[in-house]
Amino acid sequence: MRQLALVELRLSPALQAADPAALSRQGLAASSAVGSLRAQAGRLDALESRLEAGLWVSPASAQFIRAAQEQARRLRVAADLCQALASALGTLAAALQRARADALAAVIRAGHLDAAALELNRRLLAQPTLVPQDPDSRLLSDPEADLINIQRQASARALALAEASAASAWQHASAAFDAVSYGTPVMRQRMETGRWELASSVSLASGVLADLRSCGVMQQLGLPANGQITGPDGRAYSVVVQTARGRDGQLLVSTQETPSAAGDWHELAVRFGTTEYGRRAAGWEKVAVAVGGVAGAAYPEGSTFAPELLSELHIMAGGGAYVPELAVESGDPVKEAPAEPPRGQEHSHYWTRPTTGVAGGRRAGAPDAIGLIDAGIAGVLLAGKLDDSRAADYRIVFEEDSAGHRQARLQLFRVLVAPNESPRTIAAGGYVDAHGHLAGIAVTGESPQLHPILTPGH
Amino acid sequence: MAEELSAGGIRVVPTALGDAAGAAGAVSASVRSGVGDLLAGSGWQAAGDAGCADALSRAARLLEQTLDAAADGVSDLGRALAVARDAYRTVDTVAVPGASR
Repeated sequence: MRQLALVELRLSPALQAADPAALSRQGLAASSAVGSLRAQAGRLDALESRLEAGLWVSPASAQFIRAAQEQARRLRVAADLCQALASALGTLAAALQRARADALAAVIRAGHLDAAALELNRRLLAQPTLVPQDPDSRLLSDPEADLINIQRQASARALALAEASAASAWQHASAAFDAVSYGTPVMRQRMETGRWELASSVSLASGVLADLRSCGVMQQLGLPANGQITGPDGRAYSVVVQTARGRDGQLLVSTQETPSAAGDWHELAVRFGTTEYGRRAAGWEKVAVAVGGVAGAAYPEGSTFAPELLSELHIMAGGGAYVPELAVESGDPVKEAPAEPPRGQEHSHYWTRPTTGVAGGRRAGAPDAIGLIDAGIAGVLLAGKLDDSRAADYRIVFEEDSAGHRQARLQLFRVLVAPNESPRTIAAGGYVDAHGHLAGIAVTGESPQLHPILTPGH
Repeated sequence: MAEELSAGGIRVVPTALGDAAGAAGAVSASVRSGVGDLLAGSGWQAAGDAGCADALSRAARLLEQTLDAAADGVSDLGRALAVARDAYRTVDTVAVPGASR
């Protein structure tokens, strides 16, 4: 029989370095801070309610009340963050406590088994000196070595399980700590209003995306699954088009958020802004349109995108956007500018192609001259509007799940204006195209006449 | 706070303002020391795993900044209180029936 090798199980350096007791103490400190902060905020509220009785009324006292309200709000924000930190620390401490205990037990068991293996090896070396009648010779059997090996394998499995449990606890705690970080005013400001440009922050990831769930949806839509956005925080987020399932089971691109769609994704930040995407009109196209106008080409009344209305757009928290009722000018030649040709599934009524050519028939000299000048001006103005459809408002939701995966759900909104009609919103799901540029896929199934039954699509 | 405002025999403003201003500073100091323990002496390393410790360190640092901002809020509150008290002493107060200085 061969000698048994020693397994010498050890805790991982990370689990060895973990100090659950210290984490627990820190959690308790954070938890006690919650009570203090909330009590303080409560005192400020009580002060405010007593002053509101009208006993001390002046602009200066009103300013003081506002300062007190703001202070109470800050304290509550800090209290909530301390609460989240305390909760995460407590959960991590408890999980690491269990994992360490299990791992140490496995290591100790393995140590005992190594000692048994050493003893077996020692007797194995001494075996040639034993006579068959020696009772010890009966101990040197394969079944005994097999039993030691089986028990050592069980210990190794127990250690691996404990380490996996610790790794999972670290992942969950990291996500919880991130949630605290992104809940702070400093990070909120950075994510929501800090200097950042969406269109220049998209790219295609060279590696494999961390979240296969996202890949599935993007592949079903026929879109690149490795698009990513480098957020205002400098971290990479996988780009995911928000989807839902229609009543027929069809995958729809949607702006509507359903609560159950969130899954275990935690919202880190939501950012709104304006960007540009899509094909930029080439120089020759602009020249052709301008020259066409001078040559008398007629551009009919039609729909056009109106980037100047993007600032009026109301983007809703639950998804979607609308333009409030505005007075629509009519007869403005600039409004006749066509949008860019449709891309993908975009419906054709969203744009109107300019008609070309010169109308036949006899021409009167003076009116034609006026008409040509007018058409020429319209053509030049139109040439400058060819890129209007590129401008869009966006809403982007940065999220992280408990396993540390990050994703960004991106929606793009443009405003379409048709003569004598109210402006309307054209929504699209944002993604990164095969060239690494920002692109949009038209929203489907959100017709007011046909509300789909939405179920989580990602 | 020396001055008092009485209405129906109930002392209102000075006590409440004094409590608020004093309590705000005191609580912030104790809370900040609690969070500071995570950062001082690298308490975040107790997490063990490097990535998790980084996340904890980042959260503690940002939370400390949040508490710093709250401490600044106490100063804002104090300044607003000083202005309000000054106005109360002069002419910027609307008389309330039954109230007397």
